[in-house]
Amino acid sequence: MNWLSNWSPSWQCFHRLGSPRWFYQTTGLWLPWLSLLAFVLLSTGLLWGLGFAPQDAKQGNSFRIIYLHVPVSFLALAGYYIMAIAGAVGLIWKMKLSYMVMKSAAPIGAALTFLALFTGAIWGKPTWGTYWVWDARVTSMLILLFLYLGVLALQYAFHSNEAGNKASAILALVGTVNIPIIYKSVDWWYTLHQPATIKFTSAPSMHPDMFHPLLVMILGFYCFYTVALFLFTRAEILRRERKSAWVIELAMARDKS
Amino acid sequence: MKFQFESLQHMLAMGGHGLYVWTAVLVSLAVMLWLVVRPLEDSKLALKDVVRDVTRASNSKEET
Repeated sequence: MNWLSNWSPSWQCFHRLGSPRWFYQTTGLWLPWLSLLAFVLLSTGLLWGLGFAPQDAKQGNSFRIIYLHVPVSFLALAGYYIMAIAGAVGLIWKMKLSYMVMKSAAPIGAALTFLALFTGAIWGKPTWGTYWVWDARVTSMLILLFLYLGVLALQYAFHSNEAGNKASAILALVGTVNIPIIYKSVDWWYTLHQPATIKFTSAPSMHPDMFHPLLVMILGFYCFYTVALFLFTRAEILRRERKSAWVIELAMARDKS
Repeated sequence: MKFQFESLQHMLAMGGHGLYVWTAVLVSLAVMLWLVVRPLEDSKLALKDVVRDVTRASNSKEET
């Protein structure tokens, strides 16, 4: 396989990307800027959405929950792709780092899916008159939460990391079936949950004054997700690479200061 | 663009929906805070464990 690593610059790049040490050092440089960006976007978007966006004609001020509910749900779904793709890369190329990213994506995804359900329930009370309905969208999101928790649980169910990683990755890949169901649930079963506000194919069904802060929140949540994923992966790297020289060096240097 | 409320009290009340909106905001912020603090604490702990293992290994070497 030696010829592969000399084959082209893109393969070199791929291998370097797979190195936990390279990942740890590079994300260390990016994190301060990314965190700052996430903080600025989220605080701007939240203030704008909660205080300055006009209130909804029918729902009044309870509609402002949209500024959390939609971005959180977006990332709960996008995070599943990241987890499943990381699992697939791990299975195919046996890349350790990829499994670490998969494992890190699980608690973040679970937390965001919980928030999507929680903010949805709170929004449902004044709007639908109930906290919970077994609506198609709500139920498929609950399944998403269980998939995230399942991937997390499988990591701890095996004695060897290797077996846990493989089992988690396979569950993550099988669970991908749920994603298009979640997206399409509002169209296939037109029950209670409203159809998507934002579509890539057409203009949003929302006034620009309401839409712009939402866009800022979504961007902010993308940055926040990346920060969280980096932080969790870095912690995982330190645990799994604790025997390697660079981690020992880092730990001793930190200890002295 | 203008501020939609007459005062901060009105913003807190959110026209009767204050409890819903602010609960959603506070819980979301709490979960997001956890997503940042948890891995940072875990990293710190991991580095501490490395230091402990290294010092323990060098101590046992000195004894033998």
